[in-house]
Formats: sequence, structure tokens, C-alpha cells
Amino acid sequence: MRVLVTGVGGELGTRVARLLEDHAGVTELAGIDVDPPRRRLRRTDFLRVDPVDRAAFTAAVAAVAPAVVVHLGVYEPSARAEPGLAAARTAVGTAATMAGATGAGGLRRVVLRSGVEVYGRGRGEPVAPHEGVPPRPTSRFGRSLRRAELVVDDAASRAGATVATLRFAPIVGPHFPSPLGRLLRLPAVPFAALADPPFAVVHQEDAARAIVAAALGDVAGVVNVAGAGAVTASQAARLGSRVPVPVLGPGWRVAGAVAELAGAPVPDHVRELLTRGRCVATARAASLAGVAPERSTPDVLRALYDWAPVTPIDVATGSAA
Amino acid sequence: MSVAGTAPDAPARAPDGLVDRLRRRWHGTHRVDPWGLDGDVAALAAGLARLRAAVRVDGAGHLPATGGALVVANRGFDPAWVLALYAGLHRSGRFPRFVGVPDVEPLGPVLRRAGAVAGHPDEVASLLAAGEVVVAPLRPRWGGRAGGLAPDLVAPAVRAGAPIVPVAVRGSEGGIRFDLRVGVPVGRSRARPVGAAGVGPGARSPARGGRPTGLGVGEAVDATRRGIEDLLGG
Repeated sequence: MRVLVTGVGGELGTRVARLLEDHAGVTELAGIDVDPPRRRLRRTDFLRVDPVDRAAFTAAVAAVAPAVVVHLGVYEPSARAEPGLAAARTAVGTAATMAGATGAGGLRRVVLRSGVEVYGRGRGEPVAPHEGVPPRPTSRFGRSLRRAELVVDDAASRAGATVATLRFAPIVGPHFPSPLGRLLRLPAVPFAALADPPFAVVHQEDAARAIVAAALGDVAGVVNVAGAGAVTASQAARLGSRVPVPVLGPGWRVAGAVAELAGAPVPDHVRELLTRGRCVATARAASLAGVAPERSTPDVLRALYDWAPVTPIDVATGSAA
Repeated sequence: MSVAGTAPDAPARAPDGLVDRLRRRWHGTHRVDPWGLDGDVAALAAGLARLRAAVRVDGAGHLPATGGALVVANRGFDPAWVLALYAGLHRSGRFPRFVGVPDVEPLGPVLRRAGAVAGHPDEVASLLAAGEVVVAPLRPRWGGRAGGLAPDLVAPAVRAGAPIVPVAVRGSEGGIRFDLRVGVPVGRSRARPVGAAGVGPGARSPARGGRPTGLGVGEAVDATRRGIEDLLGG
């Protein structure tokens, strides 16, 4: 089975490629991204192409002629790229991936990394939507994900391929570039004073396992994937021994500016999570082998906070400064 | 509060003092669920409800011990009756989730902490799939008869095959003492022994793959209203 992993230069993409390398059924494995893999890959052919270069990306994907596409080339704003570039890479990269894969023939399955941001958090909408709730994204990232879902569904249906769309809760964990993870690791964490709604997250390792299970199994359709349980922002701050800071109305502009100065920009989907909450119903994932996360949401946050801070090394003495 | 009928005992819980709860909140280890329920706040609210309302429960065994269920009560917007329902149903060892909370801060999030949820059909469907007990009210109606029931709240239970349990609350003595009558889930025979069809302690819930009601949405709505009227008239 020939498998292509897009977005292989991200933490998630690299981990998925390593898990696929261990599987005997994957005879050929290729990865494509604008950044190189974050760790050494033993038998993955890496193609370094910028997703915004549509012609080159399409040609590179077509040359691989994959039977299975694991499309992780979905870029979260302020994670690895600023919001405008992230949206462009997601949109052009998705279209190019599907054009190349369907044009080559032989495509059987597509696994798409999507997110629960597609449901949006409009007034009166369910706070923990199941997979059957129509997506109504209310953030830039949510709209970007939704467009990717529509492009993949359309192209795959014309090619007769199966699509597994995994809508992940925010993926956080040690080493994982995530605006939410960076914000929660600040010494002070803002929370909505009048609401402090719950949200769920998923660990990067659980996300990688779920993607591999979907790629190698028979999962089809949409599946919500989130760690069990939920936490509020003030609760997360307490879990990490941070200072919870209540924020109200215009105070979010100040909080966002301060957080950005501290190295943790707050894109609109993260602010929406903090003010309106972000959970999903996960009954379907629980019924699918290998897809349900092992770590609960509080456990994922504990792992995030247990990640030791970077300690500068004094070059002269070789000891920690 | 007394419980009549075949009520299951409340699950055993370790004694939880105020200090334990404060410590959990300080460390952020208290439990919150995806719909906003805060276990400590809900337990406190249930305790206050029990102090405020003396509730006698008949037929508590008709409530499933596990799995999702839709409880339809004759009144839902009178705070005293909500307290009575809250106190009575909490005896099952599970937190009832009352539908109808507005999506407006700070009222919505505060009520969600105690177990309230939105009256959105998709939210009801998610709750039932997660094995929660959802409480929906009939619309108020004068004259001692049961009011209407929104079919879109019943439809998720019918689709999931979750039991629909009619409940009637009757108050007396200045709104302090209440009778809470729990009826047989609609679409089931009274003659069926408790526990054989997912309605007794330890029985398998239809929401988890057990036996569905076999009724359509319209039939379920009518049967539920009739069930509540029977409980009110009995």
C-alpha cells in the first residue's frame, strides 16, 4: 500500500509517518511539506514543496500516485505560520493534494485532519455537538477547515475514494506547536469572567494513533476525537499552578496584546474557545477501534504542564545557566 | 426525603468534606463535563434542594440506573417544582440535566454548572448518547391537565431508543412538601418486570444498545402526555 502524508514537517505529521513506518502493510511511504520532518524518518521519502506553489505540489503528489492520502497539511493559525499564510497553505495545499492524488488514479482512501472548530460556537448552538450537527464555523480556522473538508469530500467522491474526516479537539502536548498550548503555559492565563466555559483537548500521541487507525482501518465519515472530560480555562491555570486572570469584554484586547508580547498570540478560534467553550460529543469515536483517545483532557493538560521549560546552557561551563 | 417503590440505592460515595472540595478547586482537579456540569456545584445544589423541598418519590425504579433517558415532567418553569424534581431525581445517584437554559452569560454558564442544558435537539441527542438523564418540561397549562410537549425534544430519544419516562410532581403545604411520581417508560407494559427491559437497577439501557420504545415521535409525545395525566389523576 502506497501512502502519502501531507504536512509531514509538523509534529503530528512526523509522528504519524513514524507510526506508519512500523506497519508492514505500508509498502511505500512518502511525506510532503514546506518544512522538513521534525525527527529522522527511516523509510519515508520526503518531498520539500511549499503548498502555496500549487503546480509543483500537484505534480509532486501525482508523482507519488498514492492509494491512501493522510492529509495533515492543515495549518492552524499562529501555530507554525501566521494566520494569513496558514489559511493560504491549507486552501491551496488541500486543492493541490486532491488534484494530484485523484489525477494519478488509484486513490482508495483519504484521511483528513480536521478540527472541532468547524462546528462554530454561535448563540443557541449545542455546546457539545455530535457528528450529525451541521457545521457553522465562526472562526477563521473553522472556516478554513470546513473548506478543506468540502474540497476533500468532493474530490474523493468523484474518484470513488473513501474519506475519514477526523475532527480533533485542539491538539496540545509537549513539543506540539499550538497557540492554545503556548497560552496555557504562560505564567498567567486569561479566562472569561462571566462564563469560564469548558473545553476539551486531545494529546498529540492520541491524535497520531487515531489518524493511523483511520488510515489502515475501515473508518469512514466524520468522527469527533477529543479527550474524555473537560476543563475550564481557570481550572487549567490551577492545574498548571498558573495565575488565572478574569477578563471581561474589551479586556480581551489587552489580554491578547499582552499574551502576544509574551510569545503566545491569541487567534480568534482560541479566544472563542476561552469565551464560548469548545467540546464535542465523542460517542462515535468510542465505538471505533484505535480512534478513542487514551488520555483524558485533564491528563493532557497535566502532560503539557509537566513539560520542563527550556533551560539555557552556559556554553563556557557547559552547565545550566 | 423518603423514597417509595423500588428505588435503587444511591451509589456509595466517599465522604466529601468542604475542605476536600476547596482543595480540589484550588488545585483545579474538580470535575467538569463537556456540557458545563461541575460535580461539586451540582452536589451542593442538590443538597440545598433537599433542604428546601421534602420530596416523596413513587416508582423511582422506573428510572434507568444507567444509560440515557428522557424524563418528561408536568411542570418545569416553577422554581419550587424544579427544586423538587432536582432533589427527587438526584436520589437515583445521577445528576438530572434540565433543558431550557438560555445561552446568555452569566446566567447560562452558572445554571450549566448545576446541570442545566440548552433545549436544543442536538444537545439532547448528545446527552442521551453519553448516558445522561435529560429532563424536559411540558408547557404550562391551566386546569390541572398536562400541557404540550415539544416533539423536537422527544425525537432524539425516539431515534436513540432511550426510555421516555413520564414524571408528575404535585406540591402541598406551601410549596415545601412534594410528591414525585415516576411512571412506566412509554411504550412498555406495566406488567413487564422491572429490570427486564433496561429500566431497573443494573439493567442495560436502550441508549446503549438495548430495547427501543418502538414508537414514532408523535405516538411517543401522546403517550408521554397520557402517562403524565394518568400520574396526575391517580
